[in-house]
Amino acid sequence: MATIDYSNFVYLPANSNNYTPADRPNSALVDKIVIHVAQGSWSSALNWFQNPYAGVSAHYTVRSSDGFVGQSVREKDIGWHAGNWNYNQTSIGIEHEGYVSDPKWFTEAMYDSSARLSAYLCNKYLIPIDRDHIVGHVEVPDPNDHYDPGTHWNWYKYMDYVLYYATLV
Amino acid sequence: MPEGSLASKVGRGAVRRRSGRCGLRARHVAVCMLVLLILLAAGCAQAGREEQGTGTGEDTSGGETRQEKTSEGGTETTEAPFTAAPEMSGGSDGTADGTRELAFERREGYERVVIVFGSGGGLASGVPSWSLSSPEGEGYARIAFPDVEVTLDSDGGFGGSILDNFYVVRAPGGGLFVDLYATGAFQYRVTELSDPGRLVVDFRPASVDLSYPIPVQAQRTVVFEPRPREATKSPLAVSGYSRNPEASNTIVLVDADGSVLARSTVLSNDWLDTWGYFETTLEFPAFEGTATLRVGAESARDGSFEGAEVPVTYGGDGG
Repeated sequence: MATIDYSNFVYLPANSNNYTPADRPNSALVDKIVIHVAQGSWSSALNWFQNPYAGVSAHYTVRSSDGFVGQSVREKDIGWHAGNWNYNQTSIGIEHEGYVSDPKWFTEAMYDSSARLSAYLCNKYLIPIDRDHIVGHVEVPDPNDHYDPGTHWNWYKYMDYVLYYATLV
Repeated sequence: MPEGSLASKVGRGAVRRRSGRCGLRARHVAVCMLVLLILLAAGCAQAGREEQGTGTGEDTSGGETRQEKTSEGGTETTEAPFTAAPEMSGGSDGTADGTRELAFERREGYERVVIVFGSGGGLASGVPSWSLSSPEGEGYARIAFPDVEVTLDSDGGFGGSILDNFYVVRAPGGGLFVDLYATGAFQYRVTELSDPGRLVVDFRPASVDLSYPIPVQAQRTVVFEPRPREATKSPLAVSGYSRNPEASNTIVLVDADGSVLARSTVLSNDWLDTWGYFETTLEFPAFEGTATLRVGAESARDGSFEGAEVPVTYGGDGG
């Protein structure tokens, strides 16, 4: 039976067509977290990652209403989320329910939960807590036509929360 | 007058008696006929409840399916014709909120798509409002369902001799539309069925050539316009639908040497639940020969391009 990497959330494994099995951090260093916005709902994202034709996945997806987290890809495996093989190999992808154009999706519960998750990952993989290592999808090098998490994402708040929870842990 | 009246009465009586004796057999026959008629009427009424056909436009064949429309308490039976009508509509507001399945059937001389509707998590009893457009000779039929927001079936192949495949797309103005693609020119007919609500669309080949190429289709991108080999000019309208990651679609026009003439990015209105519609305009300089419009996205895995490629020529001034 597959194990999950975090507690208090649901594990709905992505279809094996949508990620690359690996043995991280033994096979590759995990030194980045990539922040995404899904352009859709939490449940739809988790469902789509289970579709064998999706060609995409993220390790985690955070729900807007209550911050509940779904895991689709185990941290040791390589999620297909960044559109860049080097970044995929060395990062964890966190999707967030909502749309880049609509700030109402970025709730306090979502920031809080996602920051707890990032803090957990930073401590586990010794990822520096800065904007060079916690990046938006938009910041992944070209070719990249993605804008997420977009201008409504509050990076100052998010990084403050990550620092706070990393210290608590 | 009194005598006449009496004779008339007697006469009528005699007749009545004759009628009475012969009438026992006749009444027997009449009762049997009545029972038969009732049974036939009941059968027709049942068929009427199950099948309510629609169809306008030219009758080119003398169709094969019975259509029954109930209006003003009566039942009118007509034959459903195959047609090449560019537009058709029907259904009732609010009778369904989702599509549950698109089923394919091969029939003698034609092929059939059955769209099954849902409502509130169960099967819908009727067919929601719909409007069909099918420009003659373009090889597709688009059926819009403005009341339908969810679908359990988002695409699939039919593998028929005339019916090829379908996509369920989030419509830009709300609701969903279904694009049914054929392998060539066709005629069609539409029938509404109830309990559960289903829309039946029959296709049969038409003996004409396609007047316009079918849209280019890739695994997660369909480019509805422009079509292959279309003469283009700036600004160029580009539209289609996709299931590309995070609804992001990259549109690049490259010339014969591979130089980028124009590039744009546009979000579609869905990608997770079903196909999302997008449209944009592309501005570019005049070019010679054939250019290629690449519409798709970077692979989420490695950033390589995944999508559709549409060859186009320049049709503007100075080309």
